[in-house]
Amino acid sequence: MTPKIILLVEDNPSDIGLTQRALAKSHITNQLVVAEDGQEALDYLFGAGQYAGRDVSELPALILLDLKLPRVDGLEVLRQVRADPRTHRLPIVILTTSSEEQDMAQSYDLGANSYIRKPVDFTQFANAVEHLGLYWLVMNEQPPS
Amino acid sequence: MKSESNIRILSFLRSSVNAASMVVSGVGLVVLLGWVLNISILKSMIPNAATMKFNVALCFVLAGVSLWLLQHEASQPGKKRMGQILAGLVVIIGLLTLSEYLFNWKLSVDQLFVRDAATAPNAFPGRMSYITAICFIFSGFALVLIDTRSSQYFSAGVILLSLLSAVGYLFDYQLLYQLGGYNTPTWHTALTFFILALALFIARQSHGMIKMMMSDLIGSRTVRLLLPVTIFLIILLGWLVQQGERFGFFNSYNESAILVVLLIFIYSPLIYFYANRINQAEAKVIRLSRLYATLSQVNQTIVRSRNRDELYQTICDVVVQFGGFSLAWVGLLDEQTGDVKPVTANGLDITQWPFAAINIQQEDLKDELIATAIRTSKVVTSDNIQTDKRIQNLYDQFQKYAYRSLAAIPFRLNGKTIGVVSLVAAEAGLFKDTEEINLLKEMGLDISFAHDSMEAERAKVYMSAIVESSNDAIIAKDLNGIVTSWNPAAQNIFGYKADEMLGQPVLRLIPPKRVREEQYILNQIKQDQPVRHYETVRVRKDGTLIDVSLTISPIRNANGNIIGASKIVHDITERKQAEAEIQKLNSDLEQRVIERTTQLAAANQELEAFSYSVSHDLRAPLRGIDGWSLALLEDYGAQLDEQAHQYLDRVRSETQRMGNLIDDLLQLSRITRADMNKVQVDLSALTQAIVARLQESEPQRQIEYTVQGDLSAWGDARLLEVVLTNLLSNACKFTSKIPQARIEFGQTELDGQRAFFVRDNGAGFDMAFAKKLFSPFQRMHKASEFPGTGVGLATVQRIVHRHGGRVWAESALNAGATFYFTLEANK
Repeated sequence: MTPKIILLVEDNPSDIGLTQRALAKSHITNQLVVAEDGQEALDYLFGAGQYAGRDVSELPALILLDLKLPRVDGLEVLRQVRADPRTHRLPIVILTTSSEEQDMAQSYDLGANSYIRKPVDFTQFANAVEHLGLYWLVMNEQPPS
Repeated sequence: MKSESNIRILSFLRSSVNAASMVVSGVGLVVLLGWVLNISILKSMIPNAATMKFNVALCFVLAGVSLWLLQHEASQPGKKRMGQILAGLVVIIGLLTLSEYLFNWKLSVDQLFVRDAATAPNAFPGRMSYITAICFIFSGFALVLIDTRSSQYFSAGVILLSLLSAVGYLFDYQLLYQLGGYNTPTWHTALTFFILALALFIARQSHGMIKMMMSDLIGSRTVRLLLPVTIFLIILLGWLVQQGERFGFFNSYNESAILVVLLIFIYSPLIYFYANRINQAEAKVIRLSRLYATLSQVNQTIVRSRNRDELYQTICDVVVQFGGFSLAWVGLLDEQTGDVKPVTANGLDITQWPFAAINIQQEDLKDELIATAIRTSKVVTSDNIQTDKRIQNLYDQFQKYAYRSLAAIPFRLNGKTIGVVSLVAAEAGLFKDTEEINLLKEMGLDISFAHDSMEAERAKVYMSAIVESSNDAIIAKDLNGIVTSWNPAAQNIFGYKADEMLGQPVLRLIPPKRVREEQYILNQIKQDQPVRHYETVRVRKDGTLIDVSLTISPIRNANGNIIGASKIVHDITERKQAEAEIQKLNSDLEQRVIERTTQLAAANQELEAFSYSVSHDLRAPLRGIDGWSLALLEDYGAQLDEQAHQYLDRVRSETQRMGNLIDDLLQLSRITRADMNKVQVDLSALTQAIVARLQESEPQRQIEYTVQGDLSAWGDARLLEVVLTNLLSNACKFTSKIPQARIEFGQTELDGQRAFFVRDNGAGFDMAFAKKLFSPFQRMHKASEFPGTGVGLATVQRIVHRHGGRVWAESALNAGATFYFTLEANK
């Protein structure tokens, strides 16, 4: 069984790099697909745009979703993913810098599985990513497709 | 006007006439019965006396019935006609009988109905005497002509003839009743004629001699009394003298002398008595005329006088000049002292007299004449003040003059007695009778009326001055809405002159759209409902509209009926303009508030967007800096020397600090914006919970916490927790270098206000910088000593301010600090 894909939706290259570094340090070898805005993430999931023709039945094991994104924002991505029967059970972890209560509440209301605030301290960040991968990819049973 | 006694006499006369008619026809009927049944006693009434002839009795029945039918002047014409026919029959029978005597005819009227066997054949049996016949002719005419003046002359003739016969019988002197030597009227015929004629004489009281005798004047009264007395007396005296002669007391020679003496003796006092009565009556007439003249003059004075002083002076003058009084004076009551002071006099200047002499309040003067008049408000008179005890203090003054009669006439103003007019005359007993007293009362009423009308006139002048000078239009209208009064202010407000509006419909002032208002107002007025401060619009002569406030009240006439309305029109144009101005300012203000609120909401939104950016975007680079610094350390650590390692650590710690700063700032802004949900918060319990958390986070510290129990406040629980957490963790931080740390939470009373406090015995601060304490990013200590961002106390202050309270601190360096806060606005 090929290791499952992790879809990282993040527009900040620095954060992308740090996330990749944290995953690598935690020995999480899953393929990381990066979408740099909301639209790209949706295209990837539903086989549209630059991902037209992709086999959409191949779903990521986990989506790490930032909220503040160009074009389509994270909450909209979350809403559409949860609205589509093909993707509505996908585990989605909100990984964001925002600590606004409003964002947190809306995310959970729209069906986010988890909400992680990215700490400034990289060590803590790396710890969080490691725990994330461990929990969602190893310990957590995947939802039936 | 007929007096009461007169009416009594009249009704007596009427019933007498009625009774007489029955007596006359009754006598006739009885005698007729005697003839028909041949009972002699019934024919003659007295045994063996001459009989009343059948025809005589028949005529009496006819005449009696006729009188009964004619007794009332206002009887039905049929009834009267019948009476006159019966009377006509009587005349015919009389005339036939008389013509038998005169022309020696034999008309056999005498024995037509019955045969008279008792009378001597030579004396025409059954025939009535010719005197009787004349009497019947006269009586018949008197009856037929009863409604004319001549009736009484006929009846007077019958009275004379019947009296002649009656007196003849009385005096037993046949010459009188056997006049002419033929058949004589019997005594009862004579008496019946007398009754019949007397009844006829008095049957119509409204004309002829009886009218004169019936009047209320002194002459008629004298006739009424003197005539019967004279007739009765003369007959009585004549009869007595004749009887005296018959019994031999005196003979025919001295008989006349005795009669003359008796007549003089009796008539002299009688005439004196009546003459005296006539004198008294005339004197009274003169007295009353004098009073009438005085009253009439006083009334003219009342009409002419313009003020009270003039009125009083003229009254005194006319009373003396026209009324023939010796002295007249007017006294006015001083309500405070009760003194009655003379203000004007004529005849004698008594205004100089010591007039504490009359006082209505002093007990010892309460029977005094004039005081009594004022106190009782009734006319008081004295027949002779020279002997009248009631004159009291004035006695000495009056004694010097020949004053006798006095009348004190009180007068009033609006129902209240304010003074007295005194009339004094030289004659005694001038004001004896009710007529005189009534005239004096009338004078008092007239003078009172003069006072009232002067007062009313004054009030009217006063009122009209008010109306004239009013700034508000004062308009009167009748119930048809026609203007009846128009003051100068009305001209100013509406532009119409008085002569343009008087008699015109008030509708001219009402804009066409509001015409229905007038009907409403008139209906209200008709139902006696005043209209007050009714704000509406009226139109001026030039067509411009004006805002007015109307107050409308009913006008009543003397009977209390509503006859119109008075309308006060207040021009409120200026006020309306001011109101409009205020309204405009208000709506401007509202608009500005709305704009400001919108701006504020926009600013808030911006701030929110800004905070969001800060929380999201400012943190991301920090994480990058930290992450990549660490990557550098991890991946290239071996190639870097000790110094480079230190630099990179410094980069990472600064990044950390910046992150904290951003977090604190976000909390501060969030607190400013958060909705408040105020409840009763148990501050003691909240403090205990925070203390427990602090102890947990730094278990190595030995701190003595003191928390006062049962403290609560009205506020937002979440925000108050932030306040207490900040203050307590500060206390914790600044006591970190003290071995025996003490931290206390409690409540105290400062300037009458409840204040909570958190006190520690830590580092404290210099009070010189106390003001900066609550500004964001202001710190009192070096970061190396006590780390912090300087936002905590700014947050505390903001929360306390949002609760309407204030926060302050007291401290000294190294002597601990106390932070106070209140949660309600200062009272």
